[in-house]
Amino acid sequence: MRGAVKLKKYLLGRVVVALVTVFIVITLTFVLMHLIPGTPFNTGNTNMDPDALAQLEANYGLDKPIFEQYLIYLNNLLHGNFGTSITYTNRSVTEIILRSFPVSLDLGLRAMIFGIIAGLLLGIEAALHHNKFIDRFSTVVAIVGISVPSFVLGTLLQLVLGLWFSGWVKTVFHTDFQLFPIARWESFRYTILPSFVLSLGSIASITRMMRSSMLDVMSQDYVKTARSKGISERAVTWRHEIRNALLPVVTIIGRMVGNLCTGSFVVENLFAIPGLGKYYVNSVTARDYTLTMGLTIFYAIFIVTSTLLVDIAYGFIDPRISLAGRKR
Amino acid sequence: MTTIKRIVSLVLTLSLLLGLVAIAQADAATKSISVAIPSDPSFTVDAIGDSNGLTTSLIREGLTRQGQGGTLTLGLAESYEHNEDYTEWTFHLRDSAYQDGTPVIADDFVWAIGAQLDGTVEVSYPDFLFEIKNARGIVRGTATVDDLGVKAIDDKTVVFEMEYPVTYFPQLITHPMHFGYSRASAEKIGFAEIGLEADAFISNGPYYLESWVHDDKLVFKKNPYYWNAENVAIDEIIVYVIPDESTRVNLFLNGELDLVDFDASRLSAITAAGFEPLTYNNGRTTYVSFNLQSVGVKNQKIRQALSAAIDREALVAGVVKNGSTPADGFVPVGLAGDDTRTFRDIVGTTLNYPYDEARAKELFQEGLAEEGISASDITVNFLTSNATENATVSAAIQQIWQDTFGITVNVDVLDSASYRTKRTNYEYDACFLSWGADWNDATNFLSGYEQTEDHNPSQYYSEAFNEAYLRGVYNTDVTARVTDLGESEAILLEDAAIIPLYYTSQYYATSSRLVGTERRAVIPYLDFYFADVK
Repeated sequence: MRGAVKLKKYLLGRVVVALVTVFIVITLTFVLMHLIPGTPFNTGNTNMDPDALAQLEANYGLDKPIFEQYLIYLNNLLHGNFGTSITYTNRSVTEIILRSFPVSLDLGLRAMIFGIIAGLLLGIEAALHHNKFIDRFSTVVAIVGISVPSFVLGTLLQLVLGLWFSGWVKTVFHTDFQLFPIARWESFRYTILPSFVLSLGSIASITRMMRSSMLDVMSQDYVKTARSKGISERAVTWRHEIRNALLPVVTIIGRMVGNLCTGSFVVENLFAIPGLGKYYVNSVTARDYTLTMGLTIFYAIFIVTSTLLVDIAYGFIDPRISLAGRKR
Repeated sequence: MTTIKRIVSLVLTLSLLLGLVAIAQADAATKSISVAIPSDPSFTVDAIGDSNGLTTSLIREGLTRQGQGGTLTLGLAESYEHNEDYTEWTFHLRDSAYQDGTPVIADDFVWAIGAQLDGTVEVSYPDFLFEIKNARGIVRGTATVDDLGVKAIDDKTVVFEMEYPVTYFPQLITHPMHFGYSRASAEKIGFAEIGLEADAFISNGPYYLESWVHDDKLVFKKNPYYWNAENVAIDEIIVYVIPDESTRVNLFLNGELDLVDFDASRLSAITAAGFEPLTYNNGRTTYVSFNLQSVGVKNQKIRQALSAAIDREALVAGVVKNGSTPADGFVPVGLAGDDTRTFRDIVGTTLNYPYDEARAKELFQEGLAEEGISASDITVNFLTSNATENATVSAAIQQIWQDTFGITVNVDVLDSASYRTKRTNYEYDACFLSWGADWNDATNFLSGYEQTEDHNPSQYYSEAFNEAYLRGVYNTDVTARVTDLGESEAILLEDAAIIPLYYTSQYYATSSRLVGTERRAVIPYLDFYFADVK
């Protein structure tokens, strides 16, 4: 019982910290956005009609002193109102998030699942066959995965698999069917290339992490003990090595959730995926204050929540970790 | 090895079967084409849709419309007339209807134009409507929408009163801000909701928007109630939202798009695949504007020298490389002049300081002497944006100016929002600009340099320019007014307040089955109204 009370107390504390974090993010973003020079208006080559400009600024409350704008924004936020975008006339920020985020989340989860499976397999195999071919191969994958930018890999795959391979299929089999469509987001096969491109970085880091973690565990005394007790090799690998080696990897997987699921500008742009990534980048360039603010707050909440969930999950995976502090 | 072979053959067989199913589903009778636009379009009352103005031109039509080969044809009006001094235009509407069968009426124009001026719907550039009587007053708050110079005489007749003679009014109203929209539909949808979704807009154009998946895909179908529906050949136009140019080109090469715009770097890929690269003049002039108050460039001779230093032929061939042509004036080629000739045909060249290095150096020395400064005193902060070729071309010009005159030129490359602010506040000595025509008349370019008490869009002030410009604006002789406007352009370039560089072009390619696509110097830059598929 005491454990449950402690957990509740711990969670409450974490939620308070999370709220403070989000508040700081809101304030900082607000100040920074208004500090960078630039205006969302005046896109023509000569200056806008002053009355029209004044009317537009008034529409978005940009004519008021900055501190008042900040208070108004906070007040709206408390009423669940993220405001309307400035560049996408009349479109509410909430609508944009609700429409685009599920797509980014879908893509992110696909990339994560693929990245975790491929990364773990490669990392485990590399450690088990230390200094053999598969180990060297995993190093190559890790280096390529970390150093090749996704737009290079994406463009290459679009060309080779999307264009040339489809062209070859067309001439040989006389069909327009494309196993790897060049772009867009429809059925499963449309998701293969972007998910792979997005996952490559995670594959690389998970492989490296899992490999070194495995090698570390494999040289531990308890593994030697287990083996000398006569436990089967398979059981040693699964129960003692992999299970213990997984723990540090869970940490980076937690971080990956925030990275992958909030939308990648490059991958979404290249594969024409209607996700959230491009809105974030474009809204900053266009000085779309409301949209940038809304998306930042949304990201902050998402990342704070996912970090919290990962921390809780920790306790279940490793009983040695006690969320509520060390027991006496 | 055999397992791999088996898997490969299984995958290929499956793909073949699925492909056959897909082919069987396609309806051979429907003429359908696909194109791509770079971002989700906007269908608010003032919007041109996408950057080519294509999507809005599908679902909206004005009283007139741009025709084939640079001509102007009638749209929703079957005829029009004007009074003697071109201050009153009367349009007689055809029998046409919105996609739901509601007839197009004169009040549509009264409502849509008034709504953009009195703040009922949000617009960025109400200035586009300021030739209409009291339009400026409504924005300023000195007049109400009841005073607006757009009146419905009856359901089929709409009269526009002008602030000043507007001989080119039929050209002007091909811009969507002058289009009509049903008052009843607007009230039903809600003013702030118009055009946000496929079902929140009713079309009076040749197509209607059947479905819209944001940031992804729009399907346009023929509007059966449209007056000219029988002459609209293509039944369905699918518009994909594809932000990345290389992706668009790949989709085109793979046969998934019927048309693609591309820049010079994709030329070889397009040609290698057996497509013919085409170019069209997109009615845009790229030029340098000066801060007339800054020390280094406030001298007219120095600015003239900066103009004469630039070899525009070499610039377009060696740096711009997209089929653009050297500018010989400010108003771009392709913009209308009188009834038969273009502005440039009538006016000819007004670029008084074309490339001539010797003359440039001479002018520069004279300028230095007049100011009593030396070349080393001059530092030019050259503001440019990171869009398209701007930064590259700016760097080339920096090189030219530094090498020719021994002055210091700092290129300031900024993202477009910061660039706009610095430009608006004149935080530059020279500024790289590109401007396209919103309406098909030279005033579109020259009005930016007219300065009156309540209209000062730029720093430039010249009595001679104002005089020639206003003489042109008030001249009701269609040819003589072009000559007057040409005179004002010549004054602007003699003063070298701006120096034109080149008239921009755009590369594009079409699939072999698509015929009759119109590309032009004004909105819509891409038009399938006269197109068909073989």
